[in-house]
Amino acid sequence: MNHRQRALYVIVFLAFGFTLVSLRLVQIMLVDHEKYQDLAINNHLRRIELPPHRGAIVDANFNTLAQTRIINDIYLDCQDLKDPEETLKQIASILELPADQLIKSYNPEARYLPLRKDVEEKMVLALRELKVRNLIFKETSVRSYPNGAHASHLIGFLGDDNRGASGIEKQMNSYLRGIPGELWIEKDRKGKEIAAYRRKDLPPVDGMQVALTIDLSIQHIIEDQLDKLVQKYQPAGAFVIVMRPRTGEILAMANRPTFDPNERRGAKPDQMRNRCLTDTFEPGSTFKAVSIAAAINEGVVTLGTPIFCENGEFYYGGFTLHDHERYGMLTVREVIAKSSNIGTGKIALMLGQDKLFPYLQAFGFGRVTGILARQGESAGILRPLSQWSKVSITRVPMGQGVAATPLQMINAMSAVANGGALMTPRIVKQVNDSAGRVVEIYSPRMVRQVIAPSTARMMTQSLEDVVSDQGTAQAASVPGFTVAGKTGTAQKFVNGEYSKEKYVASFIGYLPAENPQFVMLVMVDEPKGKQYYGGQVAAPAFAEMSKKIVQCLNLEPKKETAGVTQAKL
Amino acid sequence: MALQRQVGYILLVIVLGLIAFGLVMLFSTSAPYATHNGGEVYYNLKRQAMWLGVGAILCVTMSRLDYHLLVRYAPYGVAAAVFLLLLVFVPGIGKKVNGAYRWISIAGMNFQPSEFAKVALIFFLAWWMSKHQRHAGDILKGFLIPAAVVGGLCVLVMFPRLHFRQGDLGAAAMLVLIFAVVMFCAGAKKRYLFPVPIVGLIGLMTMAYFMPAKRGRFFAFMDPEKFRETSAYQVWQGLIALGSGGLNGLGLGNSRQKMFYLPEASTDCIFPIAGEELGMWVALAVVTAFLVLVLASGWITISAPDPTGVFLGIGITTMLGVQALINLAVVTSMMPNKGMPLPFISYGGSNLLVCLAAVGVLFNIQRQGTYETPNGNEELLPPRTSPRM
Repeated sequence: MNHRQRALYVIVFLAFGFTLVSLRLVQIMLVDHEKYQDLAINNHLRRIELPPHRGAIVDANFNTLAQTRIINDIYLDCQDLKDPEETLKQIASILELPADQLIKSYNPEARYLPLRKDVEEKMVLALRELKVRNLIFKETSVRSYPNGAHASHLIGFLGDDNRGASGIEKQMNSYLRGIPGELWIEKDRKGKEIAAYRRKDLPPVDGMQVALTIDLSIQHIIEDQLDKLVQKYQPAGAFVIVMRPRTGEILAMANRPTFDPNERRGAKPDQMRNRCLTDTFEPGSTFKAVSIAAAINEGVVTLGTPIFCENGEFYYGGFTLHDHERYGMLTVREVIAKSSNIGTGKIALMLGQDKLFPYLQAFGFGRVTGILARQGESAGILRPLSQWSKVSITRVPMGQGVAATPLQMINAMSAVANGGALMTPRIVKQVNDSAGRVVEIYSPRMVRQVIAPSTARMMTQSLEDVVSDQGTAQAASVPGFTVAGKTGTAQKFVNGEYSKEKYVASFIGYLPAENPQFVMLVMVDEPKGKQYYGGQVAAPAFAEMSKKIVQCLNLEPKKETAGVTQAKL
Repeated sequence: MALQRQVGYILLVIVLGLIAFGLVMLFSTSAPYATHNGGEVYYNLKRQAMWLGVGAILCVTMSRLDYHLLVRYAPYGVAAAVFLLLLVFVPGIGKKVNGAYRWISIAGMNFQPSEFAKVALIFFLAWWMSKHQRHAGDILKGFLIPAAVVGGLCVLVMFPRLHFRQGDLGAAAMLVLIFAVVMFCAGAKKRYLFPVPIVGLIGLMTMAYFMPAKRGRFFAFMDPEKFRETSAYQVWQGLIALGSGGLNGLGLGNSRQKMFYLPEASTDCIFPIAGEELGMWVALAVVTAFLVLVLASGWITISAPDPTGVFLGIGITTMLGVQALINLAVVTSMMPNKGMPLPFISYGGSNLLVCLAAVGVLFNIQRQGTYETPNGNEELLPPRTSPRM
């Protein structure tokens, strides 16, 4: 075997090696191609979500209630900063920072030097003009509520995941949130985009604007009044709701205690609950309007029917019913005006519980209104007839042994003001897309005709008497307008009996009585002090607010009626 | 036969083709680095072109110089190699790259002395074994003395700065392999030679054991996916590059993996990027080109006029072929990761220089070679059949 032969072996051996490599290449590049292709895509293809702007919430006149602001935190990558001194001076002047301080804090090694937080759009644009590549902009969106605590329960707030957690923010989240866009890019291993390989680019669709039925100026009026009420009576809670009877639109709604959605940290769940929807109260005398309306509608009584009020003590079913004053003969109209418990009880006895009960249901008691879905709205308590005791027929009509939310109360009264037609209470007026086009308009929805228009007219007449020198709520009168309304002073049911110290004072009224433009509920839960009657606590507040609201709504005072009212005063 | 006479041209065309391909791929792979570091896009290309110029001159010179003459100076070559390897130890000249002192830097040009040592060794073995052909079977002259020289060079290559953690195992393995092949062809006793790879393997294992940085590398190739975040990162990313290229590739310049995913994209791992950009057919063509290169240089070796030529030829063929084979086997995850450039294609001056010089020697051998004539007689090649360079 000579050298050449041995050399040949070596060469054949090498050639064999190359053949093996070729086979392996076919395996990698042809057989396993798809596996490695997926891995490669996984390596460099990235989906970047482009967040949409959340839509604004505005009131009926397009005043902002909630908006999303973009703020920027600005950082500087100090490495390879060209001409640091001059650049820093320019940056400092734009950001309104002291230049010498900035230059002092400059550290050529720092890759993430914080310059300023919460920088507004204008400054950012100016900074971008500089075209300094070392500047890092960190964009964050902040939901802000320019009116602070006003209407905070209705508007709601966002949770930590930036989705609506309560109020309209939750209810209308799917409209407000918008649709995120996406960007498919390829990145090198250092995380930088390879611009040449940019793929499809889908811009985000900004969220829609939600317009509420709320009138911000009315909201301000009731919020201010509530502050006064809270200061004066130190109550456990206080509520005002303003509604438009014709349409069921909520014009304003406010609760105490309240919270500022901008500063939600530290706010207790107690403060954030929208009690107008979630809490129930025994309505007290305001409920009489509902019961007597049923009796009139059934033709059992008319406004003039005389009722003997037993001189203040009526023994029925083993219990004695009292009036706060001893009345003899009263017409039905006077029973309402003077808010006689005995009179109401006897009218209800004449009607009978089997006829009364369907009316209570028809007015919406015992059932949620659905104004804000899945936010803890209470249905109130309306026991079925099977659970009524013998005295229930005298107690329920005067608002005892039945519980309702403030919203249910005002909605029932609103039906009386609206000629007997119960409307669905509404809070959202319309939805516009980000370009301002109308997407959806919500129209008024009637639930049912509860009482005949003629009955409603009769009820209004007697409710007008309540707000007169004959009635319990003279303090609720508004100069230039006829006010119809009903007071309520409910004892709170504490530890199995009716308390002598804890009351819920309320007044629900509407005006002008002949053509009601708004109905308003004022309710004060556990007012402290000597005054606790609805006519004393709630009615004056009603009058004070109404005087301002009629101006907001541009209502013309009636000349002759004004004269009459004044004469009565 | 015409083909026999054309073998020099085949070699030339293959080498030129590989170099041209290498320059294109070098530009494609080095541009992202240059752009990222704010440097000049053509920087690496210019440097490579400079080395190529020097290499071309060297190649022509070697093809003109009679290898019999050169072989006589082989001992001085080994002395020079030792001197250069020792220069690595001189502060100011020795240069650290990737944490290892393997380079000397003269006038801004970085040179790897271990590359020169390979050629010096080939020449030394050819000289020694042709001088002592009759004693090829002896243990002393036929094994121990050449082994001592190789051992000495290996020690110098492996322990620069007297700190073996920074040693160059690949170069040492290459030297041992060249030694084994040339000795085998020269007729050394197999019983002396056989233990060499075994001892080498044991030595390698021991080294790997003492070098934790390399230990993981050693077995990671068997399951690169498992070690893809650690020791097999490079191999894994190389496989992704090759595999995602598929049949037709992503197009020249469109490699994604070169965007810093695959380390050493323009040097040791240039082949996967080429596969990713140009696809399987081109990758196979490159492998085929290396195969043809080995066959051509093998042909030249076998038809060398004398044993000296055969030894030189087989040494050079081994050096070029094994380098290519190891590089390709590493990037296809067929053997443990060993930093080894792909001849003529990878970026790197000293390797290109040495490879071109070696090809020059092959031309010289071919020029003097004997060929069988159609009538069965061996005769010297007529003049002017080798490439005129």
